[in-house]
Amino acid sequence: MTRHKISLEEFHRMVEAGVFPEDLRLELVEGDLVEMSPIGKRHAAKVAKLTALFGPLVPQKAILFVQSPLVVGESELYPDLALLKPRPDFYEEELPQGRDALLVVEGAESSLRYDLQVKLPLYAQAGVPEVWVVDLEGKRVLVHRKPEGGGYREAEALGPGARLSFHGVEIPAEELL
Amino acid sequence: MVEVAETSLDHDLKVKLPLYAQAGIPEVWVVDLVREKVHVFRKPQGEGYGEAQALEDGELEALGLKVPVKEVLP
Repeated sequence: MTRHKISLEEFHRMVEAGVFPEDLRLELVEGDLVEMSPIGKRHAAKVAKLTALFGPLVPQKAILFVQSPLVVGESELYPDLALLKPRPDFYEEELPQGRDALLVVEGAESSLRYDLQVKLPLYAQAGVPEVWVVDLEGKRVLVHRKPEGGGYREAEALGPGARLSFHGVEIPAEELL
Repeated sequence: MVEVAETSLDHDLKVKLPLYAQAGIPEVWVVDLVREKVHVFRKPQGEGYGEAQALEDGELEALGLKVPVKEVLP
């Protein structure tokens, strides 16, 4: 017996045909449909804060996608934040792909292992240049740079007191923890 | 509160809008990408809104920020 892996094209056709109930939040992860869990208050607040901090980069230096689709290979993920290369149409013509991303931020409350073991390799393979995984339980931000194959060559863990920086936006790590 | 509807317009208007009204959310915009309209609801009253408009152009305003309707439509 072979399990059928759903392709990106099949996924989009299913969404357009209205196969799924409204408000069901799904990611397509290497052919599997994965239901996303509801977002808790701490997670939601961090996303709101990051959105505000990155706001000044929009739209000249980056386009900000919040919990919106990003195509990585044959998967479609919904990272908490994706800063994308500026485009006049805000990616209306075509969904952004890994190569369009400048930075991806994922907040992990209970999903840390899944984010690091399953999603991070997908971001690396798709060429996303930088990924911040915010480990809310462990109170640290795991910064990944220099994608190479299915991994990142550079990885650091930043705790309270450290500073994150992206395109001139300086963020004290504790703002995210 | 803003909802963007591509295939979900019915659900947004019939299911969610009454919930927003009951919860006292003062203003809701539903962006209908298919018919290219923005529905604006104000003055929540029970399960509905006392004021409803459908805009195809012109300008919306939120907290002093002006948003041209055309900018949010396809």
